[in-house]
Amino acid sequence: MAKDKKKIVLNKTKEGKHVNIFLIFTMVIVMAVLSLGSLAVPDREKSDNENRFLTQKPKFSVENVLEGKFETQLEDYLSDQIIGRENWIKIMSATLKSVGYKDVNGVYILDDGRLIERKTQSEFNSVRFKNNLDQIVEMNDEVSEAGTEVKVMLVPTAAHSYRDKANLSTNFDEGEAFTVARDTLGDMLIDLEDAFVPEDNTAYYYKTDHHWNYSGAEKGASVYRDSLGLSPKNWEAEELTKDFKGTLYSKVLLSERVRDTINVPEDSMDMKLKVSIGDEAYDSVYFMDRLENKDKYEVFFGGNYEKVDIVNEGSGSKAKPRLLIVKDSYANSFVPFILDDFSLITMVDTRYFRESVKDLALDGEYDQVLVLYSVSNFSEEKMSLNTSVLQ
Amino acid sequence: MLFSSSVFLMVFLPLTLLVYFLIPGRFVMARNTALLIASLVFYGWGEPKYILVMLVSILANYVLAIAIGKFREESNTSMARVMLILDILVNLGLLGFFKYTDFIIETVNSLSGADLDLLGIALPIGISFYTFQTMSYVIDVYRGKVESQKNIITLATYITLFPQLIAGPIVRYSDVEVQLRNRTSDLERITEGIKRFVIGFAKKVLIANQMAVIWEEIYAMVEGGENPGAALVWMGAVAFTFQIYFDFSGYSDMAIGLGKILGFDYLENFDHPYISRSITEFWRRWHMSLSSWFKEYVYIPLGGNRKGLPRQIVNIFIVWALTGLWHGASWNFVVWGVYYGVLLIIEKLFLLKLLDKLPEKLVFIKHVYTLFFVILGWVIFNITDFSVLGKYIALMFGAGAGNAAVTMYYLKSRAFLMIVAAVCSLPLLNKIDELMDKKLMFYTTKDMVETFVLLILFIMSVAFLVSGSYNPFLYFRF
Repeated sequence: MAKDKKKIVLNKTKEGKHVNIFLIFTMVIVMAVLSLGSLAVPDREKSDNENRFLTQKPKFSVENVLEGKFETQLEDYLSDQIIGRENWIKIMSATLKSVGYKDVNGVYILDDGRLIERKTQSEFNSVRFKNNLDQIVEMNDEVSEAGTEVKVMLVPTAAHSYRDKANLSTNFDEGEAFTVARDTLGDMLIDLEDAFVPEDNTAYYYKTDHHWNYSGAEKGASVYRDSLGLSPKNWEAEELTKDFKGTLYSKVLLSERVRDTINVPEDSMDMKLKVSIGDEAYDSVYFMDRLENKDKYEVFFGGNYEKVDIVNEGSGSKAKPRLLIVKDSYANSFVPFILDDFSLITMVDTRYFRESVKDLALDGEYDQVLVLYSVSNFSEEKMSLNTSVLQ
Repeated sequence: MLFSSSVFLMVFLPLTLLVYFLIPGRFVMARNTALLIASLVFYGWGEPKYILVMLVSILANYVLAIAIGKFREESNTSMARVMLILDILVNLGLLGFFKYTDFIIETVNSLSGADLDLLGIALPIGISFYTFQTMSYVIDVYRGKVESQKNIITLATYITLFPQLIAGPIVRYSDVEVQLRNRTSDLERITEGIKRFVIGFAKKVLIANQMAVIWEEIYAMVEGGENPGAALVWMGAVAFTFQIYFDFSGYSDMAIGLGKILGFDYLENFDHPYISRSITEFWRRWHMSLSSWFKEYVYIPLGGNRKGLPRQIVNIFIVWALTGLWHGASWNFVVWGVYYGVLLIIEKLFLLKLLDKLPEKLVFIKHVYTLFFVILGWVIFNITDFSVLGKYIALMFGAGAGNAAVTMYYLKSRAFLMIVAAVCSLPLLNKIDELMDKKLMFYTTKDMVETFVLLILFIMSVAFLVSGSYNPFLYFRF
């Protein structure tokens, strides 16, 4: 009997004439959940975990459709607002990791759970990198004549720093980038390349975020102060949170248990400061309420702005020099270490600052200009230091 | 619109199927109309202006095919012939204008040193597929194989049917003529269709797209002037070999699956080409709808093998130069086509006989030989810039270990997925099916296992799709 039954099954399937009602039923349900479910769930404005704004419903108009704008935006809208969006990303990362991938979505995943940004040679914009260096040289020609000293600090990427500790060899040739920087900038460059090779177990970068951590910024500050001829200083660390999961975590949503601690130099907490951002003034560089958010790195200044002025109102500070920092977000956690060394620190972010940095340096009577970027960001920036982009 | 997009998966497909199945099966015309409207939306998505090109093509072919049919009935063969030539001119004219104008200008510029401006015409997606499809219809009307279609909606449905519209297979009118008038989407077909669609979707999103990243990264190194070493350069070439197979056959699977759900039976387009033991066999298994099209509508009309060996060799060259050119308006595609022409002629002249003499134990030699030329062929296919192509091939056979650490990284990190891809290139599905039939007593167990596996594959594919991982479209040049 059993033998006969087998035969019937075999024959039936071979002809392909078979109904799998489970399959049809399951797929109808899955498709319905995907489309109706995504429709039913209210649209979110922002993904905290991914730390970015999500695409909103596109506007339907004949013009938009004909130009293809509507179609493109609808595609982004659907993938951004799909039901359970972050779980889909987790499934992807976990799948790739399980088949042996050591990097997912542009992030290396080290064995101990540390995450490091991945940037391949073709993603590294060497033309922009060189062009930005040249602009600094051009700016220096004029600014230095007015008696203002220009210095440049390029922070090595975590991948470069860890190059001997793990196989991150598919990254771009950062040694070459530093050589170009050295050749172009000469004495202006404060060379951090070797300083950031970890000798012991000191980590200079967060485990889940691309920024340098307390030790990294401290190291940067020490080297910078040294270049100014200031006597060495020791800082005490004050812990703000132990529960930070940064931008790299957001990209892969793996390494659930790995968390970072955000420390700041203790003396920066109770200094008398006037921090002006736009029309607002604050008395601290720390925005403690940001510790409640996902991206806790925003505790430093609350984020990035076109221009920030930090006036040191402590006693005897008037005589101290004035510093202009041209920077990316790495400077936000660096500045707290040098607050007491200057009477005024102005930070401009070239992503938002549209006027000429050179004019600002000349008009603002700064004693020092510091260009502070991570190598990675520096190669992406489309700088315009010597001309105003404002019309 | 692409199958591997959120719009297709979450809006277009559910909506189209809903409307389609709400119309009772006996109203085939209503269903065809719904399909036609859906297909035009699908086609114009993102580039609505190309719907016009499509409509012109439909109208011209509709009228000319009817004229050809009429002249045939009246036994006026010369007028039928004139109409056929006119139709071919219209079709090839449209294809030529959109696809080859800039190519010709560029070639003229580089040969004569002239400085003519390029027109910068954007290629309407899928034009090579639907032009060939339409021509098969008109030529078959001329040959009396099929009758001309008097109902323009039916003809337009055939030409625009979204499952095969932008990446094939090239469906002959004669193969679906009956089903255009009368078809059943029964639960058997829907079962089969869902299976094929999910498998094709997974092939494209899970395997092809990841292989694409491997290829792109290694290619970028070579293009940037690095020497990644022969091992990595080969790895890149193999990655593209997998990419194009899983992408293309995945698209065909999705098309065949969607066709089945809608009640159409399309012919198979790929039959595990990488298990071939000769180039001749490879082309019997690769993109079968294209090679059979060229055979039927170019090779045989040219005289095929009936006019002596020298003529046959000329015919093979013509067919393969055209096959190459069909894949893109660039000289590397011509080189790629002629490369296969040469290989096929060599096999025809003596190599096949020689290979057949190999004992069964040494069959791996045939596989190695075939794969070697296929992989090399894909490198020619995929690099449009001849200077980079030269560099790439030189590195494949050149010395220099490259950077051992980089090679190790790729081996450790990517080789496993490539092995998975290799295993999935083998004809395993039928084997698994048979095995399940043997081991599992009842349908229900097998059905549940199958459902579970396909569900996992589908969920993983959606995850890769919406997470914004790399998702290229390979056929924008076709």
